[in-house]
Amino acid sequence: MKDKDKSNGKGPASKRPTLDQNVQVHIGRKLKAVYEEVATAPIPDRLVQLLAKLEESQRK
Amino acid sequence: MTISPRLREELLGSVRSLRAFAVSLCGQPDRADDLVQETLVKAWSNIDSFQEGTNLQAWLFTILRNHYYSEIRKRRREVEDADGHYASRLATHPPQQGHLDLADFKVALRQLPDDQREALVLVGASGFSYEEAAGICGVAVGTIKSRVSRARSHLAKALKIENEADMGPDSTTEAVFTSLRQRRA
Repeated sequence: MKDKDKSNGKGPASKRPTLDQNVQVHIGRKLKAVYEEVATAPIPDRLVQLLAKLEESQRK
Repeated sequence: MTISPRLREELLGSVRSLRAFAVSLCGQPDRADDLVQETLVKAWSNIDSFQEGTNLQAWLFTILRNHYYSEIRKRRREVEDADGHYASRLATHPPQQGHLDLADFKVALRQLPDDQREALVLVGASGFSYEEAAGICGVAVGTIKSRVSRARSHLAKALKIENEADMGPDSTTEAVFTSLRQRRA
């Protein structure tokens, strides 16, 4: 019986080394923290007013 | 046009993440709010073209993103900026000051190419799947995957955290928890 085509792991598709899992997690946390800084901030007045206006226009 | 109460709730609920995405795109809080404002107006007047039950958030992000890039194209035509618009934008609009620990990260994030940064933010922070992010950006899923991976490598290099030993104590975790607590409060 022949060996199945073993490419020894390193096929032509071998890509650049992937980052350490922990580094990915670390970057992910920082990224979320930066994002949440804005996403958890209060919505500015002008947007609140705009939303109110849009809702008002819907009722008409 | 009619907007169901559920759709309305969802729409209102998306404003915060739209703002966060807009800031990540343009780097300027004021301009980000302009973008969100224009997005809401567009969404509201085109709500009939939205299929209820599909992903509203992805639809809104797509509107905002398309609007942002069409504005950039317009501005480029209007103003031939000899100094290079990107470099000057970096120089004159430093990232928002916040948690000190995040300052370096923000600079590194801002220096990523636009396409890589948006892919990373959509997948890594906005919570979209690769497929959804691909839909929002109008590219193939594989393209998003490779952009995200390149973005991470760039960041790791810029922040010199290519292995675990470089990371140091993780005060960021605390910042995330703090912001989550604030959100619940």
